[in-house]
Amino acid sequence: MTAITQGRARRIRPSANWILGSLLLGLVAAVVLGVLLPHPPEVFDAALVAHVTGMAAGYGAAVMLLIMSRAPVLERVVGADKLARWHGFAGPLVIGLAVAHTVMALVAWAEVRGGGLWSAWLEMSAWPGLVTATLGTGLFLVMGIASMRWIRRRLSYEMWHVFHLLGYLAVGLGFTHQLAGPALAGQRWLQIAWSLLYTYTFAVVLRYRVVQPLHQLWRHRLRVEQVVRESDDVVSVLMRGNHLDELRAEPGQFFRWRFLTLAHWRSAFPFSLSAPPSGHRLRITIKALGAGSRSMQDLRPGDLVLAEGPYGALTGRRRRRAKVLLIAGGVGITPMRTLFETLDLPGEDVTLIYRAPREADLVLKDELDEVAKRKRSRVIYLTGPSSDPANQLTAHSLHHLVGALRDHDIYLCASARLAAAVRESLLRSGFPRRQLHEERFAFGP
Amino acid sequence: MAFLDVVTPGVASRGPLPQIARLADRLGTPKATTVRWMLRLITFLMMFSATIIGVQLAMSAPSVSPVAVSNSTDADSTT
Repeated sequence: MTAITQGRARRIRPSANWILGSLLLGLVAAVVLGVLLPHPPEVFDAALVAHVTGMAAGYGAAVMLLIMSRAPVLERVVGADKLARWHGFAGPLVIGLAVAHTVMALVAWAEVRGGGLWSAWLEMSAWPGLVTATLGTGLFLVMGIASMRWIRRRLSYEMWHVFHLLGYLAVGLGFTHQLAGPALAGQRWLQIAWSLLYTYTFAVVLRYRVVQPLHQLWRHRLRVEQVVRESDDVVSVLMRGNHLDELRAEPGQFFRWRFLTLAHWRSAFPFSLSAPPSGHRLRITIKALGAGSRSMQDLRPGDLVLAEGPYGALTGRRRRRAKVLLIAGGVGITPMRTLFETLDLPGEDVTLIYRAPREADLVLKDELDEVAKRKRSRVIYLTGPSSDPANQLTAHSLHHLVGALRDHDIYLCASARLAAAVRESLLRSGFPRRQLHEERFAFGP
Repeated sequence: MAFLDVVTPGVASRGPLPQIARLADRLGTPKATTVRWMLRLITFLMMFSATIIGVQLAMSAPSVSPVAVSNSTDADSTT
């Protein structure tokens, strides 16, 4: 997409807002079709609600798959964390729309026939693809229930993921009904466009969630070279492979790592690179926070690694100002460690603040000190209790430590609680949102 | 380094992985440019297949609304 400005062709770069706007525009189009097809409504009734919710749910289901497809343009422009948040926000809405569509369609048909819901269902079940679509809605419901916070907490990640994968089946089961439903049946060009929306989405998912990891496994042949203990509960995993420069990984980015051992192959863990990538080596640093990350401490040299990525937009490309402040909390130091060394700025314009509960929890400290000395950058360690005012990362204290905050881009990676506290304080003080860059890590589907 | 050499021993002895690894070894390690074009070709073929399948599915979908079918069936049975 290009625009002419002052006689010069200037490329408009897609942004997260631009992508979100396009997706919402598609939703508006689907809703308008739901209102106008098969014919413009005369009254507001159950049939109209059924059509609109059906079209919105059908469109939304495809979009949910698309935004989690790991397509590079989405991962690079929007960022994996934001995509996961969009998915987490809109997913339940799509399930709600699908359920509302089912109920309202039944009610509408019962009104038309002047009978009960059961007899309406018996009649409608003979419609093409309707039984499978109802099964699909049921699977959507199961998936939604498994993702409810208090149930998800009780499920292992692997079990929850199995439930979540049912979403693909649910979408597939609903497809025939969408093409054959009252809104699209008979509208051949719309049927083609709707069908392509789904087949392209599945192609993109297959390309980037199946073909790409297998390609990377074959091409890079990555395996664990060394496991280094950094502290009681933190290890660094050094991996060696071929042609790693082709990955074009940037400092600050992360991969989803799947270690192909009997104990680990079922889960892919998102971990940032903790050292600048080289042509033959990648390094991650892992803190034992849960059962999965704790099991990483048992990795052995020679273990085969399937690395999906690189993902994430927490890179030097986001920088807008002449100075940078990096804020790391705990093991959030890993992406900051690589940015600290590689940001294309004079050393004195880069400051790293590293917060940890105890001195012993400061991992990679020797490396940070060495980089700071070599680049003449500043690293500030804050250890001790959070109740100590000197350890509170408020806008006021940050200003006190580094000077005018508005002259800085701030990169933030910390625990959810610390990150939220810093974010809120900065934004409340009027710090521009566009100069605050962060990646919030969580297991996604 | 052969692909089979990097397969974790515990895993290598099971399932189809050794066969896949042998196949990968036979393909060797082509140049980066070749690999890039290979991936572009795969992407193109996938999207091309998706186009054909998508159009085929749409063309084979019903052209009459099930509501209209039900109504006309009723009308037939009434007359």
